[in-house]
Amino acid sequence: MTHKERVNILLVDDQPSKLLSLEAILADMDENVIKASNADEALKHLLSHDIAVVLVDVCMPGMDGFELAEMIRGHPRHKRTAIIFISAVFLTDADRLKGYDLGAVDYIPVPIIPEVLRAKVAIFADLFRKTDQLERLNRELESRVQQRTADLDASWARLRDSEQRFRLMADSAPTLVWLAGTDKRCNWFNKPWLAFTGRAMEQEIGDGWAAGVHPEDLPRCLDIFTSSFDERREFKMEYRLRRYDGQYRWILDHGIPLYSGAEFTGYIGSCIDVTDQVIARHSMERQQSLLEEAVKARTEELAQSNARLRVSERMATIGTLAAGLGHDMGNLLLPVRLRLDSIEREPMPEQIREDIGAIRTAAEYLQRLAGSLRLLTIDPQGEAVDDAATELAGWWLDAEAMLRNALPRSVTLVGDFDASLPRLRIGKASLTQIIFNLVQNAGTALDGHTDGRVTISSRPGPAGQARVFVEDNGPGMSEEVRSRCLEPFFTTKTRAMSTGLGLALVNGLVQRCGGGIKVHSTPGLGTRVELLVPVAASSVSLCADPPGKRDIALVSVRDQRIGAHVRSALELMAFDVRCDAAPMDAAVWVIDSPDHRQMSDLRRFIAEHDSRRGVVLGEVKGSDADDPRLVVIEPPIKPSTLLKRLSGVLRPEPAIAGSRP
Amino acid sequence: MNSRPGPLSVLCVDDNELVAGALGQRFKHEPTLRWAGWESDGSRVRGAVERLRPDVVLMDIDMPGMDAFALAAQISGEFPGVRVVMFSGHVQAGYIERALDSGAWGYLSKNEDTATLIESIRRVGAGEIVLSREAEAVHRRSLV
Repeated sequence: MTHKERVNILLVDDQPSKLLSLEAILADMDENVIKASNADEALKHLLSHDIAVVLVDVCMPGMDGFELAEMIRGHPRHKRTAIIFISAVFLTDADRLKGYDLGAVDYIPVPIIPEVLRAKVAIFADLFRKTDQLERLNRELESRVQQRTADLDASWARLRDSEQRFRLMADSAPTLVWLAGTDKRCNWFNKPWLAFTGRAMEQEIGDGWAAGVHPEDLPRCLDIFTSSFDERREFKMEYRLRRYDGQYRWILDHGIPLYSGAEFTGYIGSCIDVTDQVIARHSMERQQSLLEEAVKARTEELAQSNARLRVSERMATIGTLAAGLGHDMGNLLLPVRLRLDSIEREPMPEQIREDIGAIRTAAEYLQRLAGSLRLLTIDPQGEAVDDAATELAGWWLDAEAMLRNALPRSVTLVGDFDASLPRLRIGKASLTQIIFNLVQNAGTALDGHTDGRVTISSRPGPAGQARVFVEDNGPGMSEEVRSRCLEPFFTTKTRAMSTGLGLALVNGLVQRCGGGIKVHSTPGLGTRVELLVPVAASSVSLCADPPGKRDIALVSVRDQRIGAHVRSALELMAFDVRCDAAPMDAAVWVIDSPDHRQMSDLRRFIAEHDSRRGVVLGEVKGSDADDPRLVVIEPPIKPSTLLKRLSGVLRPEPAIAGSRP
Repeated sequence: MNSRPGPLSVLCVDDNELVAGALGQRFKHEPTLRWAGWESDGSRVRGAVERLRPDVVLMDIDMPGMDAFALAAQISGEFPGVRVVMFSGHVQAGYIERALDSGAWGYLSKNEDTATLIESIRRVGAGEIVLSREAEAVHRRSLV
């Protein structure tokens, strides 16, 4: 310590001069000097200060030195205060003993030797100082010990509290909790765990818990648990745990390593039942995979449909091109044919007539070719399947030339059609495209054959259908090729030559009209493609005229053109159309803009027979408009719809599509 | 139905000279038909009809710068005794309907054989509505 703490030194003497000299002697000691001129004054200072040394004169008026010492000693606060008597008179040993009894520590006789006084005072001042320091240190030490003791107590209390709270919390938590020691063995399970498994703590601790884990999940569980444990790693795992009712539930187990300070003490795990989530996830995964499959299938379908579309677009383009070419050829062939007509009507040498005949044959061939080229177009209005009705023999006349041209020169094309067959419910363009593709395939198969032959024929089919065959005497197909030949993209040719879509397109067109296709083939003998095509619905009643005598239709129409349209329509409806018959013979009477007299004639006409019908072209006033036997077609009269209007009321049966009588 | 005596006079409207020329030549061999003339420009057809008063106008649908159907309606409306017949290489349901509704007496295909063509023109002259084989099939199908 470089700087000592000052202590208080109290000087008590009734003589001011002595006080001054004592003060002067002690001035160099660098302590606080307090002066008192009597005992009372001294006591006052003692009450307000801690005094290290009191220098007191024995002989003082009033309370003397001894009495003062006795009072000082009597107070516990001043136990450590050193009392030094200064005496000018000689003191006997008895006096000295009395002084020591009263607590004096020393006597200093007068005359005072300053060095002795200072030495003695210094000793007691230091003693006081040391004692004071010691006491302070003691107090601090005690205080620290008390603080530490208190901390320790609190800490213990907290620990006890926390342990209890942990158990309580773990037992009341909604999760299943386990604890494992450093030996990897479980040493505690909370109540929810035990309630869940329906087993006792003794059964579960150690490795007992493993008995409840699903056998399929146990190896994985043990692997994760062990490896995580060895690396002191946190882990999460899912496994099935048997519940008290025997049912396995999916559990998500979250294990965390425990430490006390730096020391590893084991693991704590918390588990929740995630069965619902796992089931939902599995179901979602299943849905996802179903969805992926569906998307994949849809994509494939789309790719195939796109490919078919490309091919049909290509066919449409070819069709448009072919139709344009056919149209232009037709336009030029018309004057050729007309000129040939003219020339043939003139007299000429036989040789020239033969030449002209040959030119006509060529022109007629070209005319048929032009006609069949036009057949390849897809008429967007004319190809509606439901309305289509194609008569095979007529179609053959148009298509033969083009089909023949699609075959190598060495191959013969034969058409053999059953004349009794009704019309087919397929558009001419579709039929042409189908047969064109099949004939082309046959031609490819027959290329190089010297006696190749392609036959197109028709026969009656099952109810409502007809069979159309395209057969060749080519090399035929193996069973493998035959069974796959209708698949899109399947081809036996090189890709540069074929898209493999010809037969697929044929299949698509046949299916579009509600038909079907079969391929028969015998290696070495040839291939026969069989098409099943629906028969046109209306054609059943088209084939023959209505039985018996035809009904007479009387037409009294002044407008020549409209009259001609009406006659044309009625003839198509198989009426015997007259303009001059007596009304009494007719079944139908058509009049335009009738006057009053004509109207009453018409009314009488229909009144005579229930089956009679009257048709008025124009406006009709009054009650006649309500008579169902009187058909009124109000202006403007559109010739294009006249047939439909008339047939709707006069011939409800589908007789109008028949051939003209 | 044709109230006029003598051969049926026919005016041809077609921008194809080869067709018109051959048709005119062919008519020379038909005593019942008379070639009234040929007009390649649609805008001059009305004037020609007024001047020549044909019984039948054989009219091509492909007429540059002119709507043949509108022209047919105009001629039919203005000259009720003149029978317009459409004459085309295109046989489509829409064309046939428009032709009939614009007053035409028929629709003949240029691909028809020549004898049938001549006969069809005669039938129109006799007051019949005539559709050539192909046109009739298309028209009937569109109505069913």
